[in-house]
Amino acid sequence: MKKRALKETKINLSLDALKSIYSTKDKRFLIASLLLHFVLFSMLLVSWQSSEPVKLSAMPNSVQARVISLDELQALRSKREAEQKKIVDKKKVLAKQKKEKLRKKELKRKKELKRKKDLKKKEAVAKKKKAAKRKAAEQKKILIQKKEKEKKERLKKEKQQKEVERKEQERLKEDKKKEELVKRKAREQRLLDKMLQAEAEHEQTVEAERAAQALSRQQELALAQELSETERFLSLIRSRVVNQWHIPPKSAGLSVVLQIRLLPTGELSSVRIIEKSGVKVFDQSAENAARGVRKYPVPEKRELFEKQFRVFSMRFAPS
Amino acid sequence: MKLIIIFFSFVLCVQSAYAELMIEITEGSDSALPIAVVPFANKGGFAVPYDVSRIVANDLQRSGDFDTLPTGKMLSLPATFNQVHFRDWRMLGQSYVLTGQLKYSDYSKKYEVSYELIDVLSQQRVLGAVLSAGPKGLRKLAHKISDAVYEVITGVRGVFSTKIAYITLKQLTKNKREYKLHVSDADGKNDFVLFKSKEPMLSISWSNDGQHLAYSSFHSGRPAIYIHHVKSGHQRKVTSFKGLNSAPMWSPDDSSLVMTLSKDGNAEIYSLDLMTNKLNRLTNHYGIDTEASWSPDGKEVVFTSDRSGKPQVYRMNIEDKKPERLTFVGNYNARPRFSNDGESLYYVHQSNGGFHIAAINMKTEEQLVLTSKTSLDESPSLSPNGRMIIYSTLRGKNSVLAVVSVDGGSKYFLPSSSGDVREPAWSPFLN
Repeated sequence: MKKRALKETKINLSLDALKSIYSTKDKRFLIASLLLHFVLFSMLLVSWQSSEPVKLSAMPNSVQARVISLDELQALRSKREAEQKKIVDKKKVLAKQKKEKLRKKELKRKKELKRKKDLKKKEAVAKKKKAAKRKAAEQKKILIQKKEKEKKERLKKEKQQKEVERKEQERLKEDKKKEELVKRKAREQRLLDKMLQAEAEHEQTVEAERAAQALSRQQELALAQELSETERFLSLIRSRVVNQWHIPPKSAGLSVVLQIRLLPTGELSSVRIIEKSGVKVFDQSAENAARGVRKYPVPEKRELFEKQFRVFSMRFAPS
Repeated sequence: MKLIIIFFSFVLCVQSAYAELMIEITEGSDSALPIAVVPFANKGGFAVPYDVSRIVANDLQRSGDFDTLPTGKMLSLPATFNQVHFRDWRMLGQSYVLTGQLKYSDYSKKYEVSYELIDVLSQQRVLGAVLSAGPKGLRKLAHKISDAVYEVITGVRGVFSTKIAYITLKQLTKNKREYKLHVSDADGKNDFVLFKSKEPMLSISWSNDGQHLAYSSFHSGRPAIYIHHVKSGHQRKVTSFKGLNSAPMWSPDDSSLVMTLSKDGNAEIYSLDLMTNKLNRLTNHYGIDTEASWSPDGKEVVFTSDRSGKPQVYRMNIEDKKPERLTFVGNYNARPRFSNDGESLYYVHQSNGGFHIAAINMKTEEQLVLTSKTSLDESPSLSPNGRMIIYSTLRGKNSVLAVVSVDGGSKYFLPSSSGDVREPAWSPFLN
């Protein structure tokens, strides 16, 4: 049994070696392997001929074994160990890769789980929000309806109130009208009384004035006659002098006063400058104007002539 | 007792003083002052080239301030004060009588003219002098007498001895014109041609010393401003910038000319210092500024500007250069000239479809149209005594020169020798 196992192992080793050799893409390894086998067989053949015949003990027929040298064995062992190590390493790598794969898978699963969980959570939140919104809208609608209802009620009340107020105002207006009518009638009556009184007073005044006028008429007439007479002659003299006065250029702002003495016939007795203007030409023009009047118009009444026109002054000042 | 008498005397004096009538005279006659200029007696019967007394009578009549008595209405022809019958002249309503006589001296070849001005109302001689002149100087002598008479009666210096300058235009052929610059006596007589050209001349201005004329002329092919010495005839080009060179006007001290130039792109007012030839730009506006004239004190200029949309008159201090609009009545007010006292302004004003000479009082802003009966009135120029304005106006087909008093009271036309007469400029006092 053991032999068979050993044989199998050997075969396996050879096969594995061959396999490994043939699997190697590099032909150099194949050549090296063949050379190695050739050397090994040569050495085996030499050792077989020169060594002592070995007494073979009874060995189970099932074991097929081959004798190899210690070095070869050692080499085989090293090789097998190396291969085993390689296999172990490979297994380890595979295991590690598998583990990594599993870890990643687990991580992915966990992530997916988490995503699903979050999604669910979000959906739940959205649902909650939607529900809240719907609820709020419903509440708002209710509130608006309530407000509209209140507004309608308020308007109705206001309308009623206004109607009441209007009626009240109309009543007050009516009362005021009646009151004013009474007042106006009273005022009109008072005015009528006053007018009658004023008329009576006016009549009295007119009567008094008439009486007063009648008393002083003669006196006033005489005074007025004298005044109007003076005014009339003043106007005539002024007109004659104006016609004779040729105002020199650039006389604005100048003024000269002359004293005139007349004869009762109206002829000029003398003319004298009593206030000079400071401009000789201007003073001369005024004097010439006074002299230019051939005969001054004077009143025939001696008393008035003596009083006003015997001596008078004239101021020449262009406007 | 004495005290009581003094008191009563004082009261009586006050009463009599108070009682004395005072007549206020604030207006004068609208008519001119009557004066009789008696034909001057010709002692010896020599031939006289000019009727001296007639020239004097015409001068006084033209002034608008006097109304001269026609010779035919005179009752006598006195030659001296002693021969005057005052009663006659008083009857004729005359305030003054001017008498005179002339005689010729073979020795000096001159006429000797004596004259006397007599105040009829005060019966006094107010003026008298003896003057002499050769045959050619008799006109000048007559104007001198007119000046003296005018001044002694009105108090204002006469302008009969001054000159006027003007331009005449004659159409020689269809495409040929002749422009002449004339200088004549103030009555339009005794004129002579100072300069002539085939190209236009305009905007004449007298220097204040009466020796030079400044004007704008195109005779060199482009507009330029010239100064012309009247006596020697010497002409000097002052400016000839690109574009407009026009409307020169002497400053009161004759040191500079104000003028219109467009050398900087737009018609603006400049003043040119004649000593240094330095230009001083006075206006700066996109509107047209032109026809500037100095104020009597030389501190301001008035000018025409269309900066408000229509030509209007503006005033500007040459230091601060801030223009102030002066005319607001009408759509056209141009070519302003100051009065001698600087209180009024004379300018061309458009109203009722015509162009007239108008005056505005700068204090009261009252406007008075002086020449409502003529149309197309242009180029007003003030007499040196400030009493008259000479201007050109359309009469028939041609323009002529006319004179109006500053109050618009009187007006007369100057005789025109030929063609269109335009752009008059009144000289300053010449002596």
